[in-house]
Amino acid sequence: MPSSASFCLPLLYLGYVGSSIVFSFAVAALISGRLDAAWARYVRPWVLIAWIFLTLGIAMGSYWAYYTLGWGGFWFWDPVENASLMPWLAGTALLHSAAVMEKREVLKIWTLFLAILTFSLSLLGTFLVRSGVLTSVHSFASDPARGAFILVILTVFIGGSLSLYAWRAPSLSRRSLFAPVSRESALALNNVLLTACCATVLTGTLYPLALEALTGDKISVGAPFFNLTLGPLVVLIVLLMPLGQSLAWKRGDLLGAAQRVTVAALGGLVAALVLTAVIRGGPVLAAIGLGLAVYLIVGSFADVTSRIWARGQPTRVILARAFGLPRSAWGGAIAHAGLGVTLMGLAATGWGVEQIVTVKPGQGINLGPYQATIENLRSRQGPNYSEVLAHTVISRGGAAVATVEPAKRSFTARQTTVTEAGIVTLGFGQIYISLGDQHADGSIDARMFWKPLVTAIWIGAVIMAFGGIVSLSDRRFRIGFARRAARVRPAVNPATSQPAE
Amino acid sequence: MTSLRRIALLSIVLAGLAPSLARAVQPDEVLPDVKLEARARAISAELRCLVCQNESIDDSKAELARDLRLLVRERLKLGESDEQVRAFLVKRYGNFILLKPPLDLETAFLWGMPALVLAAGGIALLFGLRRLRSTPATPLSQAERDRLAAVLEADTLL
Repeated sequence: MPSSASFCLPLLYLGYVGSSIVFSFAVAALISGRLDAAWARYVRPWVLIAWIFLTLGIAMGSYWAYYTLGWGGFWFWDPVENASLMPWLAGTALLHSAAVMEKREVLKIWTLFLAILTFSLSLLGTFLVRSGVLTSVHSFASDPARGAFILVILTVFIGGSLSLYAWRAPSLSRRSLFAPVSRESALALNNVLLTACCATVLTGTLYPLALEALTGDKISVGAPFFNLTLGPLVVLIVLLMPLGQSLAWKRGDLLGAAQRVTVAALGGLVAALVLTAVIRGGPVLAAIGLGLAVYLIVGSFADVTSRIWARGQPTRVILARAFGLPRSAWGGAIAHAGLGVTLMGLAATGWGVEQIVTVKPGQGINLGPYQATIENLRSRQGPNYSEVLAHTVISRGGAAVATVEPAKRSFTARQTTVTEAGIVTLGFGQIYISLGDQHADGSIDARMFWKPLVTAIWIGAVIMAFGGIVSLSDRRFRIGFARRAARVRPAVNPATSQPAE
Repeated sequence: MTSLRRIALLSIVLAGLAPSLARAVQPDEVLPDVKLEARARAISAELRCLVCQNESIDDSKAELARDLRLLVRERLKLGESDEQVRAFLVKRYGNFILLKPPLDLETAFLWGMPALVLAAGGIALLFGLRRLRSTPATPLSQAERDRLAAVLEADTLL
């Protein structure tokens, strides 16, 4: 059986390992009783590393499902996916709260809690997936015995760290003050929203188990539930992202921040309106989603732009300023824009075309701007399977633009059939063809999709991870930087240093 | 449980899970009426395939899913509303078939979760802000003022 273990799991596990380092920092802080801005600075690169791996792992898992499962879906709100999404949500919140803690020494206790939570959710995810307590479309070996072992680890680590937290955290508390309109309060709000998302996914994943254990009643919690509950939260987060980025630390100016994102907001509005007008009668939600995406992408660079660009400045000065900005500012902007790109891909699914057809060779099927024609069917014998391949020509306005060979494999020994979807990338969109049953008259069942902008979903995730890497390259975040800086400092002191030349 | 029974059970489960020749929505199921078909798809996407691993009947390859898809279309053709079709299936299979559980006493906590966290977070933030207002900034002590003056005098920080 093909398994997602081959690609995305190593990345996810690297993410989990990263979160275990952050967890160790948190436990160390609880035991030693020292928790300050320096702690946040030491922890931030590790949080970032874990976050980058989790982001890439989730994206690859999603593409694997899209590529392999053969019905064109890329996210199923499946327990395995939820198990990887929960640490990502908690880790994203941690990334932001650690920034607040480093800059302003507030949200300390909360940041510690998130550090413990992120690792605990990683463990919980591993347990849920590996023990077979919850079943999933991402099939890989589950083993109840190993499940029991992981459960013991889970209890010791989560129970132990939370007890330690309950015991020690109050003594670390320091009054946390911040103005209602400031970068830190915007980030606190971001944390509330991300935590709400995380809690919703956690409850949704475990609720059926808990309810059955308590009352014996069986319910299902699936995609429609998650879409309905998380949708509004995500919209709120997206609306706040550029605004929060444009607010200053300590005492922000809401009007100024709003002015800085005006261009972005207008861009988003125009995009949404133009799309509704051009594609008349199309899905309104998709147009709104795309407008939001444009707002987020443009708005992500509002803060950076306002810091480097000023009317009448020569290009040289602007470039110098751009290079002078801390890399973390660029990284944040890029990562936020990456989410916008992903959102764009998600919104565009609304304009997708799906055709479920029985076709004879030579018969053309319209897929949005393209036409797909299965020219001929042929059989091939593999080592332990036989397969049917459909030679398909994709054309646009009568001219062929690509060919693809979706296949259907029958494993004779196991009596199973696996579809190998035929996928053609055209621009940022994809044609996706998966085969069904063959009929006696030479026709074949097929499911054909035109998915405009679908690749943006995963490209966005890669951009997010790239933003993380840019942030990581910020010299302040380099692991061990603080120590090296301390060693170097005496030489910098003009009183003791010798003239170099 | 005897091992024989276990094997029998396992093979039943496997037969249900293994991708059979049947695929998700097949051409012969599609209704000629476009509007009716769209409604059927929307309903099926929210119904659980009872023998599968967390898939909707719209996505599933299992035979049972196909039977249910046909059933949904049958009921729609009889002129039933979406709600009536769902009610019929719930009566037959229980709430388990709904991927979006109904809001009732049992699921109140589930549906209320986002609002609960938002409320808790909002209250925590408000308390933080109120504390800010009630804590006036303490003026600098004489020693601190002297130090500040000295620093400003020196004019450089290095």
